[in-house]
Amino acid sequence: MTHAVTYIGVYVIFGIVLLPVYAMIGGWLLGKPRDFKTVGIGLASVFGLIAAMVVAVWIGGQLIGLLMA
Amino acid sequence: MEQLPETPPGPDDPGWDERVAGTLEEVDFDTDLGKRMAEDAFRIADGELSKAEFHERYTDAVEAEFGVDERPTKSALETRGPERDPLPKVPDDREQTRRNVLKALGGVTAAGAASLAGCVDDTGDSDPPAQGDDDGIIDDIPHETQLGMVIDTDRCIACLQCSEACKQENKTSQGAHWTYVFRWSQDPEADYDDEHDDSMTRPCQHCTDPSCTYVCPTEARFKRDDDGVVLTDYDLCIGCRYCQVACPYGVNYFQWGEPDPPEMADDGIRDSLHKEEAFENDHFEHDRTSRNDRTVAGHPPEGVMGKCTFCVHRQDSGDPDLEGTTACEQACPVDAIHFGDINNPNDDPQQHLEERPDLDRTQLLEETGNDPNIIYVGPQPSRNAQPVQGPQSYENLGMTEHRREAIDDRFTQEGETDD
Amino acid sequence: MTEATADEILEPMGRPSGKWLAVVGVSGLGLLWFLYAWIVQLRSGLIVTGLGDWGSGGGISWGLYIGTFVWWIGIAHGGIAISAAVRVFKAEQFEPIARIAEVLTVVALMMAATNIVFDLGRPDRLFNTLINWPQTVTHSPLAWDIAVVTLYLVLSVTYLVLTLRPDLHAVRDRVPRYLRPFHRVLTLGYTPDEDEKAEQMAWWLAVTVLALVPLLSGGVVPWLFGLIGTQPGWYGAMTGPSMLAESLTTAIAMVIIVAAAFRYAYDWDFIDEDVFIGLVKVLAFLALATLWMLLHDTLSGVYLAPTAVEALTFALIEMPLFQIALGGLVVSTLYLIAVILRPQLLHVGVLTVVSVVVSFSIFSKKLIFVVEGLLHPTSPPLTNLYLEGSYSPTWIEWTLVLGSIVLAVFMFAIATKLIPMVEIDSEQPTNTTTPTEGNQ
Repeated sequence: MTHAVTYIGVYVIFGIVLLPVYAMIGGWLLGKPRDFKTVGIGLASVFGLIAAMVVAVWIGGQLIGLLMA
Repeated sequence: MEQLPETPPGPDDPGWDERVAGTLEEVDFDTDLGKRMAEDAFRIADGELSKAEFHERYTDAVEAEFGVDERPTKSALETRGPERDPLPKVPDDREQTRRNVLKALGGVTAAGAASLAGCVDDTGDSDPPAQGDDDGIIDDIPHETQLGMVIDTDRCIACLQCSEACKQENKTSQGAHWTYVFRWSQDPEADYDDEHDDSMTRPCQHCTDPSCTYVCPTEARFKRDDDGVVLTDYDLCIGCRYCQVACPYGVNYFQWGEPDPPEMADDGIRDSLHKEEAFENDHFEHDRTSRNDRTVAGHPPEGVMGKCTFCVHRQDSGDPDLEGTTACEQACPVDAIHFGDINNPNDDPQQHLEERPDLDRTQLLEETGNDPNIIYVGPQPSRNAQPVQGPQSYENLGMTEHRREAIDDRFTQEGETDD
Repeated sequence: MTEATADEILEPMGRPSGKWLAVVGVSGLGLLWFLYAWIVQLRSGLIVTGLGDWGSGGGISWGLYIGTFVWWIGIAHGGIAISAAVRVFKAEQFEPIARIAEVLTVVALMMAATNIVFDLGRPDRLFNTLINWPQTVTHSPLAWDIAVVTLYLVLSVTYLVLTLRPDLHAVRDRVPRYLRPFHRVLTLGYTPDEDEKAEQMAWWLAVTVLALVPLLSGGVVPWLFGLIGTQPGWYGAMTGPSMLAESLTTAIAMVIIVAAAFRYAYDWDFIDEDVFIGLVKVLAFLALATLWMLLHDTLSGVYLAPTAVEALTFALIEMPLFQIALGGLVVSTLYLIAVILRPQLLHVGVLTVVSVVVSFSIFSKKLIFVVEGLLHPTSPPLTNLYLEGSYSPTWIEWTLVLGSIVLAVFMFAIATKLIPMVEIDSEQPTNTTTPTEGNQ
């Protein structure tokens, strides 16, 4: 008897946790008033922040590495 | 079939061309192709050519000549994640047997090829052939190697030599017992005696379904495909200790501070926390890099997790005297530890099970679902068994048994760290 | 309901007041001490903590840092949930504190991440979690945690920015000059035409943020513990709901504390009884939910429980810290119920103290959960064969954890200088001192 189901992460994140986000983006794109410029600002904020965080983690790691030396 | 000499000429010997021509004369296929493949087969055995390269080199020619390409070297091309290495440095894979080299030759007859292959270097293949191959018939059944142990608790005398040898071999820090000896009793008030008390050593169980690998957020903790050893990549690990909290067996030991291996120890208990005594150089005497190019052997660096590696540096060493052995197994004076491929009935673990059919066989914490690969034969601790001191103590051997106590002592004596 | 005037809202962004300087000064000094402690830990390793290997090591692997991480994640939810409640459930009494609450969320999330960094053996390698994320997400609850916390932070900041833009535009001529470049970046591409759509997008953001609450502090974070079958103190479906109730309780308590702080610091009378009575009702409900979950945990751990679970539960109940935390929570809940029944009993100062007690109680409960789980790990026979563990946090651990609170205070102080901390209601007709063509 061993663990049968452990690789469930993709379903958990993309199939459950992100559902509200999918609905949100749907609401943004399809909801009135239709204003794709503002939607673009919102999406730019979301993806820009994600990118900024990835970079920040990398930079942070480097700085901490200096402090640890 | 011509009579072949005892030690037929290899590709570098004068009689080679004649021999090939002679052997392949009776075969309807391309002599030149057969000769080139035979020469390359020797190179695989010598470690100069990888099976993957060999496979790719001849794919088109083999398909053109034979219509199919069913050579077993195909599997060497498949990538199965970072732990699957298609480029072995030495013939270390049990499947790298004479028979597979034979198959790589393609259309050469079995008899002739058997003689040719008699010259193939069998370095590293000191184990008996895998199950099903005793009859000499080539087959395609994959034999999944899973390294594990059968540990005989009936023989175990709680001498702690296994723990000590492991520490000496891997240079683990004070309080880190990659294999730890449980000594228990049903009556903790009584002195330890053979009647009522028992002992067992607990290495990492190298589970088939290791919860530690599932929870690791960096892929630093992984299970090797080819031999089932569970290892920690010391370059990737971020020291989050999730593997430690997810493991049911308590086999993980985190490197909380600078490593303080026994070499630096005074006689008796060493105060292990003074930075000025911490070593600069790595005292681990073996190669830290596994055959799949990850830094996994020996004690971990500071801030990273470590545990029993089944002496992976020995398994990957290419040295036939070291492969298939572990430091603890060698040190045990009563031959309680039997290390090897537990799926192979001819290897040490299963052999020992056959020798002791009278003893109970159990595994630790089976209900966790991790499917451990350590089988214990002999007396087992009951649910109510209490720990006791055995005939030997860790402190007597210059080791700290419980690291927590050493740290607590240090803090009460000195106040705080002066690092 | 007292309305805020634009003057009042903009006042914190002007000349630093005495109180502000005091807060920044004291917290700044605290931060220097915190930095020193952190550098000691970075250079000496986690050996300077009271943590250790569970099992033969006799310690516990996770302690104060992880407990504090869980606590901060909980607080993060309260902030933006209040703001979202205004938009989605039309809970207008909370309008004056909506933005303060949003900033609390952003700060709390950052402090949660900071406590994780404190806990790592190799924090310089944090990026390794991102490199292999496509692989690790398939199987590691920690990888899920990283993703969802990041998601929550990103959505919260986006929500904050989207709702800030009209306000910044409205007051652009009235803010100190040095802020204008910063505000211009935040209002890039802004025209008042975007307001209607931005409001609609903010509504969807609010719904999403609310929906993510049971999936983050009631989901991914408890799953770090509740999915680990081998630790009987952690494992089980109850961990999720328990942690959610506790998290939201400490979250609302923190909102009360922060709201009271701003009311006191800037004489903001518009943060009035309506705001606090509303928060009291929510907090009372959540505190009762927390106590109810605790009832489940206790009964199931003592009645006919398996021996290992029973030992764990008794150890928990007999802990002095647990008893203090429980006592604090019960007394606080009684006060909250009293205020609901007799609103004249409301006193902002007392309520603030009560909220501090509640927050501390929840913090203790979360810490105890992490620690007790590892002091009573695994199952027999190993439970008995291993040394009983112990844990005594060192000064470094306390300093770093308190340091994250001090850092939060410091960040709040800075935030009040950078952006208006109350939403400027452009539709308020009596707001006589709100000029500019941006407002109808």
